[in-house]
Amino acid sequence: MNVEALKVLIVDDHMLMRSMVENYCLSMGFKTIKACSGGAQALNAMRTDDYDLVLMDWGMPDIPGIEVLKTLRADKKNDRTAIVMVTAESEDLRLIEALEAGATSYLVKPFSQEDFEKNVRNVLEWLKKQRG
Amino acid sequence: MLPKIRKELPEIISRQVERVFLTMFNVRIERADRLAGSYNDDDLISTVTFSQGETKIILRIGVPRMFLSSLLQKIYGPVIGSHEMTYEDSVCEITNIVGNAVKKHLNEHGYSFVMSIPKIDFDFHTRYEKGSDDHMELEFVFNGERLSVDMITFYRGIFEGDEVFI
Repeated sequence: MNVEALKVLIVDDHMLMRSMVENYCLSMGFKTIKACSGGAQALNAMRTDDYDLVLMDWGMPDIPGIEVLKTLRADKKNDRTAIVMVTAESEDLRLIEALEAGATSYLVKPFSQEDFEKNVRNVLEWLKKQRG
Repeated sequence: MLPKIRKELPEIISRQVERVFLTMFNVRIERADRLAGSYNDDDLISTVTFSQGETKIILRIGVPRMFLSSLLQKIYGPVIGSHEMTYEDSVCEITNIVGNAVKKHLNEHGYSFVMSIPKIDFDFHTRYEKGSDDHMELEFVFNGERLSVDMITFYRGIFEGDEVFI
């Protein structure tokens, strides 16, 4: 899959994580990356533009990532968008909740660049299958 | 808190603190053998609260600004990497990650603690909190820098400084 053509949306209230994830995406070859610092901003970004891959935090002060995920999945327009929960929430129940709500994958903080790339590569395979 | 969980928590916290610094910053910090017993003047302290009914647990992590500066300049460069807001953001994210490991451990033992969003604690630079029922302290070292973690439990709510913590 040509990652240069894919659009990425990073959603995290912490600048540290946004920067790290953005750097990892750039090193994987992604070119079009937008970062949002909250759930409301992310929903707005998804309304006004189409993204192929959303990397989303769970615990955010305005709208929790799980609610953003549910809202996005309720709209058929986002059926073929990969949404990865990138979160420190590591309880099994949370993982199940996210997958049931339509998360494509789940990445627990802290993670190395290698962990991140491995997860995103699997997600790209999913995206490829979805898009035939 | 059950004695078994109380006994396991220092190890859970240590492992997660060491993992955070290694995976995110490529820095190998180690648990200190001896406690200095207080925060440094240069420490930036972040706090999360775990709540379940009347029980409140406060987790605080203090990281020296000098140490943060050396880590964050590698990510952001010298200007943004030495800005106070960048330090605050990073300490809160570190606390968020460590806090979630603590919450997972507690809730795996039958509790249902809810964790707050981390915030900077500007007011408290002392470890021991009057009126607390339990207090745990850990320290970590790297190149002469000392990082502090402490955890305070109040079984029947926080009677003093309530407005500050919650």
